[in-house]
Amino acid sequence: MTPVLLVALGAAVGAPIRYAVTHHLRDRGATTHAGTLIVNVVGSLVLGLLVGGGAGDGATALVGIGFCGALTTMSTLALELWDSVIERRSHHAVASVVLHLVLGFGAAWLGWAVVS
Amino acid sequence: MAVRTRDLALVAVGGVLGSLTRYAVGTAVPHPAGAWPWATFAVNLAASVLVGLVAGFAYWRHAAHWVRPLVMTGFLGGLSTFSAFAVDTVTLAEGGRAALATAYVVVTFIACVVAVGAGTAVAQRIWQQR
Repeated sequence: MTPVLLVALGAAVGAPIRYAVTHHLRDRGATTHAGTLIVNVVGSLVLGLLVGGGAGDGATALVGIGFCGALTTMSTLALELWDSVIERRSHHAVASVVLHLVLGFGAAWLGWAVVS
Repeated sequence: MAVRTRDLALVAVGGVLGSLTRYAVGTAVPHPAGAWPWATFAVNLAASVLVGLVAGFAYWRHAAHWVRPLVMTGFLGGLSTFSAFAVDTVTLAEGGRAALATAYVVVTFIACVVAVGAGTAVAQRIWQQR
């Protein structure tokens, strides 16, 4: 398969999973921050493993650029941070940034380090 | 409210289009090891300003239901990425470019949040009823 098809296929799985996870958690009383954090941490761990393990072009297109890229998001995170600040819930924004720095970057490093 | 199949499909379609756009930008602007990841930075910044714009449009113009899953969650969520941001930061730091990695993280977070605010402000000027 061409890289374009692999990216599309991975994204067609990753994006709906992000939506379903966030929706599922929000229905159970969690803030939208929780879902965004989970998908970003999981996607960072998987991409870390892939890059650290020196994956080939096909796996990089399908799982890395397609699945992990679509599973994770910066725009929703930035929107949630902005909303938290203007709605005077700055503690939510601070918690979200700290958790992303520790768990998101931690997961990326962990994935990368265990296989490289 | 349960997840609706139609919304999942809209998110998938938007996510595929956004991810293909991100892939095209990444191909057009290659990322040499040890350098600032311009392609990822650009798509994250663009997606953030657009999500502010579309969120503002949806709020002030009571946009149709499909706009949020297709455009915001799907396309812009697929266009932007946290995983490449995180892994690029790790490889920069592990490659001895700790200062660049730190700057990349700080600038990305601040620029993307400010971009959402800028997008929202533009949306307010255009679409808020006076």
